[in-house]
Amino acid sequence: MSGRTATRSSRTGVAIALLRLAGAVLLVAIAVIHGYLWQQGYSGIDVIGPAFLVQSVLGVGGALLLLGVPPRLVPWAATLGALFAAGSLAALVVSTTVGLFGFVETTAATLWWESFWVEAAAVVVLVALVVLTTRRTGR
Amino acid sequence: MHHPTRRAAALALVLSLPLLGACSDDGEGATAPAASASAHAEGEHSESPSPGSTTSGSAAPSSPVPSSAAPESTASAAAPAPAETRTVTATEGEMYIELSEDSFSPGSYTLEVVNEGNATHDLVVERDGADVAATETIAPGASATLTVTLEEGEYVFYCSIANHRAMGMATTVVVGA
Repeated sequence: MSGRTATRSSRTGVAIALLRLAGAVLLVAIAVIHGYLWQQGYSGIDVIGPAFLVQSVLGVGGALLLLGVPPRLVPWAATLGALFAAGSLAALVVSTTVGLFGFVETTAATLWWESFWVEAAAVVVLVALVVLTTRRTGR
Repeated sequence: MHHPTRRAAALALVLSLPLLGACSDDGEGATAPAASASAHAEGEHSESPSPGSTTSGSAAPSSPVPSSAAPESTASAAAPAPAETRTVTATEGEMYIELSEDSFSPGSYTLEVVNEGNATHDLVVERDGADVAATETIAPGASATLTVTLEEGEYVFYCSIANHRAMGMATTVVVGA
């Protein structure tokens, strides 16, 4: 009984570690994509340009936070990361459909689909991390 | 005692009203024939056009807007000879610019820029690496008009939004004698 519980706990620990790492990598990927696009010409777009730069900074900061915080604070770091990724994804979709701050994006734009999948994956991974860590700390 | 003076003033006022009305009609005439209101709405979000060009949401060749800024080099408002202004349509989409004319000769041109794409675009006229004229940003489905004087030489018409130029939204225009 206790052996089974220890095994399950160990597996959960490994899963959390992997999700933390994957989440951090995805947040860095979001940061790199937006930094690259900012450099490629998005810097000249009102509001969108500065927002891309902010996303780059927040992406890197979120990744460092996720990897650096003690285990009891991982749910909070993962929640912040998930909100950031969800916000980025929502902004991408809104800008492509109805437009954002007077700018309408196209799916033909550079790294549009890469952005979409990376941000969607980040949301999934970080939400899973929130659920796992919250369950664990709740026991 | 003062009635004649008042009557004269009233008469002068009444006579001046049609003149005022005519002036306001002219003012509205510059914007009233707008083909697409969305182009104007979109223009509010964008930067001012480059000096030396006239840009608007619709063609208004009979009433060019005087530009207070002097043109940098070749582009200028088409004030002197509106009859010689030629109209060229530039159709934009993802990620291309198509011009209705293949050959250009020096002179004044009205560029009607139509955004048939799904994304925001604009049109910039560049010569020797310097922008000489530019439209406002153009929303999907909207259009804008740019008046520019082209001299003999090589120009590049491109979209300055994001990296659209690098993605193919640029076309070289050679103005021959």
